[in-house]
Amino acid sequence: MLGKMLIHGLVAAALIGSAAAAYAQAKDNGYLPAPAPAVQSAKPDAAKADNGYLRPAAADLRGRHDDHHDRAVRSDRDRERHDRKRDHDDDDD
Amino acid sequence: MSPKLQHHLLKLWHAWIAGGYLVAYVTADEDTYDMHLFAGYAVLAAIAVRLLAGLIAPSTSPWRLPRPGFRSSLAWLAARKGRNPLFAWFAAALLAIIGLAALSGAFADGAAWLEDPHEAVSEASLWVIFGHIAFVTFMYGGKRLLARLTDRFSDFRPLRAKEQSR
Repeated sequence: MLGKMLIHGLVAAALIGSAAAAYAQAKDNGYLPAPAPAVQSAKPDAAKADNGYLRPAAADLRGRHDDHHDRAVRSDRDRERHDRKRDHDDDDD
Repeated sequence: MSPKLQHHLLKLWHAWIAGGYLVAYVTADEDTYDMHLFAGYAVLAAIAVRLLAGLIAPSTSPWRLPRPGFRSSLAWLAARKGRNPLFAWFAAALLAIIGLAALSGAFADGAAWLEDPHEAVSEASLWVIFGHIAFVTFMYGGKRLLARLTDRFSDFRPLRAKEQSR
């Protein structure tokens, strides 16, 4: 019985993991709605105003840049933590 | 709904929450944040379904919420009859701590200050899960294995006594 339950759990993990990966991919590609307005309003008005600067395409604005901004807004401490992790990997031992 | 079907649905629910937890734990990184978010909400939904089902299920149903008690546990220790109370204690502890981890994660998405508490609760929940796995493994397989091992060991004793007498 325990063996079967273990397999059921792994199958469920595979299904949920696939759905989660599809969700993450859809969000990256811009198929899903944009994130909260608080993040979008942080974008400079230069994108809208005609001040002589080149304006990036709308898809680029909604795409990866928002994700990077989200991650920056979310927690700089986390980034430092993960940078420290990567530093360990870069060590020449 | 027949008891057999209820048990099957409960096992399905168990697979849902276990699978969701596994994905959420493995993807708990900045690079896989979206996957982590999805899996976390899957776990939260599973907890919500369990609580709702537990409230409306009849008293004889396996979906009924676990209600561990100190008096019933002490009574079981004295008599050693009936279902081991640790089943209910572990079920209640798991629902509480995994529910707290999922809920704190949902709030942490908007409030960065909750990230560390969420991580702490999630790490603690992993130990409760290990305890749960160890307990059910012992109850459903470990006891027989232990009995077999002790039987084998007791077989060696007469042989040693013979060798010593020579």
